[in-house]
Amino acid sequence: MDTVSCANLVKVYRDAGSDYTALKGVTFSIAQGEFVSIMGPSGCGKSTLLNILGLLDNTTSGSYVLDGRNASELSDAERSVLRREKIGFVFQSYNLLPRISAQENVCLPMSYAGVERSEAKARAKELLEAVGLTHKINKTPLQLSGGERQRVAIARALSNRPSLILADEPTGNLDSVSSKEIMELLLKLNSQGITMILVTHDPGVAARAQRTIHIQDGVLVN
Amino acid sequence: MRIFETARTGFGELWSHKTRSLLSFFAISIGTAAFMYTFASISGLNRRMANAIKLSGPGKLMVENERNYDSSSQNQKPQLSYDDAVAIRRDMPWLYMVSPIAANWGRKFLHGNTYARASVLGITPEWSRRDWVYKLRGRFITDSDMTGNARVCVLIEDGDWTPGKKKPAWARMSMWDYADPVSDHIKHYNMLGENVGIDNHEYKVVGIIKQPPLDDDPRWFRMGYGEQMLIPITTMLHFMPQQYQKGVQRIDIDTGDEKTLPLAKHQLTVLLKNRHSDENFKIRSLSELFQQALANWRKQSMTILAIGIVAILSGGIGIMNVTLATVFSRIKEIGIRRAIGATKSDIMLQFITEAVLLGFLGGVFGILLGYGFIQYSAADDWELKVFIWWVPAVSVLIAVATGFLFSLYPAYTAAKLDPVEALRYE
Repeated sequence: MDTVSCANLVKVYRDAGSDYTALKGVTFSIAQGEFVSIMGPSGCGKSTLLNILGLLDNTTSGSYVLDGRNASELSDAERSVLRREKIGFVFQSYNLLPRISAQENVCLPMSYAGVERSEAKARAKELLEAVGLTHKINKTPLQLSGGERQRVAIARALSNRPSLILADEPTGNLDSVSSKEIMELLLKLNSQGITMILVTHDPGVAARAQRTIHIQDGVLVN
Repeated sequence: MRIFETARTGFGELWSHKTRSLLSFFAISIGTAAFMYTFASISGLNRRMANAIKLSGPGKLMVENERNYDSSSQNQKPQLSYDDAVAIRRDMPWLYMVSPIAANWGRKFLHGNTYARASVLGITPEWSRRDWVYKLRGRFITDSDMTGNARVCVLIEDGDWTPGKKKPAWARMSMWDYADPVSDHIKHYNMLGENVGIDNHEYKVVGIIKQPPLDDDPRWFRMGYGEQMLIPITTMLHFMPQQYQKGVQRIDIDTGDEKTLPLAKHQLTVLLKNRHSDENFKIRSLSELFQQALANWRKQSMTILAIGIVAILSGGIGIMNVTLATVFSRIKEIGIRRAIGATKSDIMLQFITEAVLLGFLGGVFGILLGYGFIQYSAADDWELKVFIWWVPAVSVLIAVATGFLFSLYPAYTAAKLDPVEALRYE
């Protein structure tokens, strides 16, 4: 079964009378457990597509079905619930809350999902150990290196056991050694059955995926 | 998200913006303290008034001279006199008490080597029918003292404070703590049976009445003017005619019953109008007097309440301001929280919780402040200390409601932020 299924996605931004069409009818689907990279130049609509896939943004027309549920029929609250239960985000700039510890950051999605606090803390510790940050769970993001921050972000993305991870240039801010480690981590997660969608500029990174979707000026190209 | 979790986060946020939070906190506190003080004193005074009415009975009337500010003797209207009181007693025998009072201040007082100035009241035996809160040693003034113009007196001993009880701050102030030489003398010498000189005449001390301790005085307020001795009014007429010229200050009446008040008032008016060419007296019932005093006090407390409302409103606006500033400084964070699964209500709840916490903390501190203020301005068992559970509860509730109401708009602003825009915000 397809986890992600998009049909004729169109996204139009209305800004002060002039319309800008970011996606001009995009159709594709991704099967459960696939590792797909999305490539394309800046401003081609990659991020817009990722936001729609992550239920952060609405489509103007076309349909997006995630795990059998049509996104356009979901209320804002239902989208939030799906975001925290099915999807994990990994951003280029990590997007951790800077003042709280790594463990607290990982706990955050679980607290919204109503997980018991002691259970959440235990699971956060486990996840941070799994990404190799055993001794840094009490450090705040400001005390961590870029690679370490991205591992915290991945641990956070995994906290509610999602079926889909959306990664937006996860290695974009990292040196080559850290990049390699993060990619290994994502591949490992994919091998455990989590569907992985990764947006990147880097052909080397894209090559690690099973399949690459190229996008240019809001349309898919082969 | 769990409420505890939200509260924990909220507390952390308040803590990380200490100065900002503190300003709203203080405004809320001052407002709450003002509310608490007003509530406490209104309910305390109401209680005290009820007690005072219970003590003095419902049938009290006071006939007083209309205040005459023109002191030149030609324009002086005829005043109430002892004869008026005699006439009232004669024409209205059903009254329980008719008690005329003629006050004289600054009379020469001589006992042993002590020479001072004293206040003397000329009264009739019926004076003792008022709310009797005194302890009497010896005897009171009698009818035979009256008919014989006897030079006898009853001294009034100051009640002071119950030993061991804390005086309130105002009572410790020099103005109130001033020791009057005559009162001091009465307190320290047992003068019962001795002679005392008043204006060059000798009077025999036949009785001493002791006031109740000031902190335990059930009366609404002290009737009288710090008087120190009582003599028969006829004696005053006979031996101090110059001083008596001013007539009597007041004729206190007790009908014994609330129902007969209007009748007594009517009869008194007719009677006194016949005796005086124009209406230079006024008749008020004690409860009217209380109501008047209470109304005056309410007016004052409204000022305090207005200050409280302004303070709590500015606290509310402060909370709104702080919350809005917090929202704008945390746009990115709101985006992140939305991305990892917070609903709009989660976001709203978070900011409301912070403001409500601030309101609650401010309210609790305000109660302590208000309570401290009440402690400072009241003694043990004083009316304000009548502690009523709902006063602090309502005060905190108002503070919490302020936090809640004023954070609704900022919280809504935060909740309706577009997650994509918020995430992109730097």
